[in-house]
Amino acid sequence: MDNIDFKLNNLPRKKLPRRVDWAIKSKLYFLMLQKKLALFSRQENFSPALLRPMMAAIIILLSVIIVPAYAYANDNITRGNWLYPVKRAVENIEMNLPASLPRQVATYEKMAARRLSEAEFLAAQNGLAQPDEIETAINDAVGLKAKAAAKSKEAENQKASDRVADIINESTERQAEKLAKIALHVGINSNEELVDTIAIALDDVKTKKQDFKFVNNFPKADEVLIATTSDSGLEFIEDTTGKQTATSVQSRPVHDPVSSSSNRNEKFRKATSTAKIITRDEAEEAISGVKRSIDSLKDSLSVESFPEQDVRKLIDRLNNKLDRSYQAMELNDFDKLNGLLNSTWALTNNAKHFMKKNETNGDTANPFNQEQDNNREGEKNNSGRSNRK
Amino acid sequence: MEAKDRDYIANYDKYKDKIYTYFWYRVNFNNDIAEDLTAEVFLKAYKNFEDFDPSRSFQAWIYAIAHNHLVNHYRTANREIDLERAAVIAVDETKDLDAKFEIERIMTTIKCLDSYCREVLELRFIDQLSNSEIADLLGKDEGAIRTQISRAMQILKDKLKE
Repeated sequence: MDNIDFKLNNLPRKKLPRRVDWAIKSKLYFLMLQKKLALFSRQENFSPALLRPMMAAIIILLSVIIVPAYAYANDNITRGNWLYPVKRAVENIEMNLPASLPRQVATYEKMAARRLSEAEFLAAQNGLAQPDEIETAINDAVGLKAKAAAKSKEAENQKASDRVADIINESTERQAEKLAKIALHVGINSNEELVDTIAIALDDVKTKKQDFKFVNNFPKADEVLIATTSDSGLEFIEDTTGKQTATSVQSRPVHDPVSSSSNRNEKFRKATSTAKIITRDEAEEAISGVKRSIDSLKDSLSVESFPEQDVRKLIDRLNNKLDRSYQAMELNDFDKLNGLLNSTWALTNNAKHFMKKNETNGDTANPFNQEQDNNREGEKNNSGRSNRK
Repeated sequence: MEAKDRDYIANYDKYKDKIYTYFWYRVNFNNDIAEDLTAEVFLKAYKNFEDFDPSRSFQAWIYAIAHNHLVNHYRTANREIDLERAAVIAVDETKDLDAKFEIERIMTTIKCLDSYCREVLELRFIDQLSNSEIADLLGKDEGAIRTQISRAMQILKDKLKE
């Protein structure tokens, strides 16, 4: 390896994002104003006659500039906070500004990320936040992502399509990380609907990344797009002469928490999400598939160091969903069955995100003090990252 | 705005990217966490700015606050750095294809060094602090830091040759 010194002196440098810079500066100016007001009130030669016009000016300044800026920049201003309507109003202005297609898509993705940040903040409140507040934030994020995907279809050429694909895929990776963090904060023992919402959102985010790439393999004018996925992991484009071209779908293991679904999962997913189960045979096949997957998950969890009670709770939940699926099948309630299998599948795929592994020895994250490393064993992480705000 | 506040904002503009980079390399290249920590450090520093001695280097002061804040973060967040993921994400930041592989190897190897070697190399090459600034931050003698950096570089070169 040559020129190590040169390479070390040219390591990547980061630039603080403008949004964060603006947020920090807003807070600093707010603190400076607070300090100034405190000083004014203590001055002996302070004339009370000046107070009213000064306060009026400050109130106008606060309400028109600083408060909206502060509200906009804070992830911990969530539904229920009096500033939340101000925050959403500023966001709506941003979303409605005239902009190019990539900019519009980026804005939708940015808003989705902001909803997830709010959800993360709420999830980190150790049960103080209502589950439906977290659910609403996540569902809002999913809705915004859907808008971004819909908007992306307006791309007029391959270049534009590639550009919006890059924007969406980059955002999707970060959003999957955020959802994983939310899952960990919420935990497997939380409200079932909330757990399902997070699991489905995780699955949705991971699947859309693959689907999105496929949709943007622009078929030519004389070709027809066939969105089929076989067990061999191939997808097909058929032209007007009937000639088919195959491209492979990336194959991943079922229970890799950072991957999207495997080919077998993909076939099942088509059955539940795009082509719903409508016959008993399909239902039996789908339920068998889910049961196999749950068994496989049990095996994989048994060799990993997750807390026993969390694993037990997870498996109980999955089995309960399976039982309800059988009942729905018996009653020919295929709508309910589809919903149950979708949530069961999502939870199976993303189970590991909801559980924290048992702590191991030899944590070397602290570079300064080995004693602090040792003392950290046994300490529990009770507060999330965003709690610090 | 008071002169002191103007000075603070000027220093903030000067060091915000450096402090962000400082955290980014030390929190598993997580943008969100690095952003949060950067914000907290500058807000905390402003609240204590009255006690700041202007004859002292602002850089040294803000880095000391950042360092202590990071220690608290490690203690309460109880996080581990994923070696593989750290190297992969660092690679995304480079544009030059040839440099990617080299930097990936260097980053992975640095992360495998003992904590003291790793820290002095990171402060020297990531944060671009001088030997005296590193000594001040770690509470060590400047000569000891110079020696440690040489030793760490030699270990790094030997490991990279393996």
